[in-house]
Amino acid sequence: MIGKEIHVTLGRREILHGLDFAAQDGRITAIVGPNGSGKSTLLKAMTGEIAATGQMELNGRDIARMQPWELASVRAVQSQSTTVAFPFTVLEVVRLGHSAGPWASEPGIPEAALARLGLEGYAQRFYHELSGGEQQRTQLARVLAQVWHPVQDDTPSWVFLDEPVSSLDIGHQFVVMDLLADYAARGGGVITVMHDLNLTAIYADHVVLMKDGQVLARGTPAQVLTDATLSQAYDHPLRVNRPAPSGVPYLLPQACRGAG
Amino acid sequence: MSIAEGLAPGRVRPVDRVQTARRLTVVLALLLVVVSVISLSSGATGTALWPVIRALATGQELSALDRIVLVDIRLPRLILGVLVGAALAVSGALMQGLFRNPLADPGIVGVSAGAGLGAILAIVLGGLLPLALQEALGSYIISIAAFVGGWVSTVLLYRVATHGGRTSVATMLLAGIALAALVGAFSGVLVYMADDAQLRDLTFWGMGSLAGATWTKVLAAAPIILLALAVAPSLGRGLNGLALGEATAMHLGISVQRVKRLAILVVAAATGAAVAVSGGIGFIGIVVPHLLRLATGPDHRALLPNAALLGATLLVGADMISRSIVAPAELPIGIVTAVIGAPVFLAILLRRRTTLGL
Repeated sequence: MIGKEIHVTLGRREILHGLDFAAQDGRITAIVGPNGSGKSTLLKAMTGEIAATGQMELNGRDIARMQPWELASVRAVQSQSTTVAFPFTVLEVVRLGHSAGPWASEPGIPEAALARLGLEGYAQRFYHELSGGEQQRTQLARVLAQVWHPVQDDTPSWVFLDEPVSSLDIGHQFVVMDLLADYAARGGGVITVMHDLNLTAIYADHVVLMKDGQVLARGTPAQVLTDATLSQAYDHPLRVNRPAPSGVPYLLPQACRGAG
Repeated sequence: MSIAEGLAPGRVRPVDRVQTARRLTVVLALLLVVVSVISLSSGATGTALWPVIRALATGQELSALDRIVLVDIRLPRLILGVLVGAALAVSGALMQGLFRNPLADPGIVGVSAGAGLGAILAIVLGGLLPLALQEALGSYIISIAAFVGGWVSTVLLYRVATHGGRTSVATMLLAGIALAALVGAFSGVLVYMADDAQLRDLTFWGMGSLAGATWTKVLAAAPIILLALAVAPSLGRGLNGLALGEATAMHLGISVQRVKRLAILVVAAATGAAVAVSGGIGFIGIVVPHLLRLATGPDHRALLPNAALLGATLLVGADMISRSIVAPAELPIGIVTAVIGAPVFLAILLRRRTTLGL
């Protein structure tokens, strides 16, 4: 996935100022940054939800020239909005994703997707009666069911996610992140807006740190998640720690309070 | 063995509500046939169907009275009831899918009123059209004008009530009220301008009834309604996607703009043609999709054909009630559908009040 010179203007305000973006298949690419930095806007620009100028390619093809059904066969998207009009069941919602993708004729995928997200017993429940976290997992199951196999005819499939773990408890956060890591490890592409820097540090292969509609830093978590860069991005003195065995950077709010 | 069964041994296989809905289609079709036969064989003159069928089977001539009652009165009325009922129910289901809201109905949000204005315009000012055009359009002129009126008001309503892919229920209902008031004012002016003959046409038309059914009316409405009904099922997948929001629908590979435009056109055509021949018959579009969603779920691929069948059955049934309850006089059918439909509307409103934020 490549984006070049992406500009987005909402009303009279330019939100994204000509930024470049690149994400590789087989990796989790995380977009992080403070509130209002343009994370979600960047994701929406790449998925075509909002008008943007610039060049965008997916698997070497110009997105602007692809039909909705062509895109739906290589890419599934989970946006932050999770409302569903009308009383659909959980299984019916997941089937809507499944039937839109290239594996629509392969049976059992919706049920398997629910199982991967710990929703086996939820198939017949009404979606609108679920908790926020359960709805979020159902939506992820829908996304997964649409592009179930990470590689299709040697071409990677992609999932684009806007804060997929924002409503989840810590156990399910790990379930979802493990699932995304597995999807990437098997050759799929994962692009996700993340709020939680610690989960980003653990799971992301590539991090894009945004501030004020521009990319402030990009690279591996170790390269991007540093005291100086994060403090600049979030306008607050932040201190990153590294546990000895893994070296994965982590932040403790306790250690950051009153730092600097 | 499917993956689900492998993972959850002993669990009951999930019920597929779409399969159930497809079986319901057969039941509804049979029900429509039964109700139609009863409707054909009942009426003020007491002409029964069986003697007529027996007479036909044994090669006897029909009496003149029987022929007039059956062929010229009851049959066009039955066909018109089937067409209008199906058109109104499918329009309701389509609008609800389009607005993502179970309270959207052509009658309630002013689309029927817009179609009505078109029809009134055609009745009062149709005479001003060039004679050649009048002859070419013939009996279709009211249907076409009602279609245009319904289309303009649907587009207007959608523009006002929907912003960034979200429909505000309050805005939708209030805009519907405003639209209906505006249309009422225009209609009032036209009624004021109308001459005596036109006034009589307007009065009969405005009663909202199947009583004036003739073969001419059937022929005027049938092509438009049948075309709309034929197109409607193709919108099922698109409307299912729209239930998840416009952005998600797009990511499911649906051409959202195409689905929305086509749905508005089909609603306008079906509602317009129905209003043109039967005036304003309300609540069918609310009641029918609501009952079907309760029975077999909201999947539009099954909902749309089933709505056509149940709508037709319900309107033919309501027509029988309107003919028989104060026989030999007739109750306007709009009264019957309102008595059935208004409580259902209130029930939906009460149940969903919290989620609708009203």
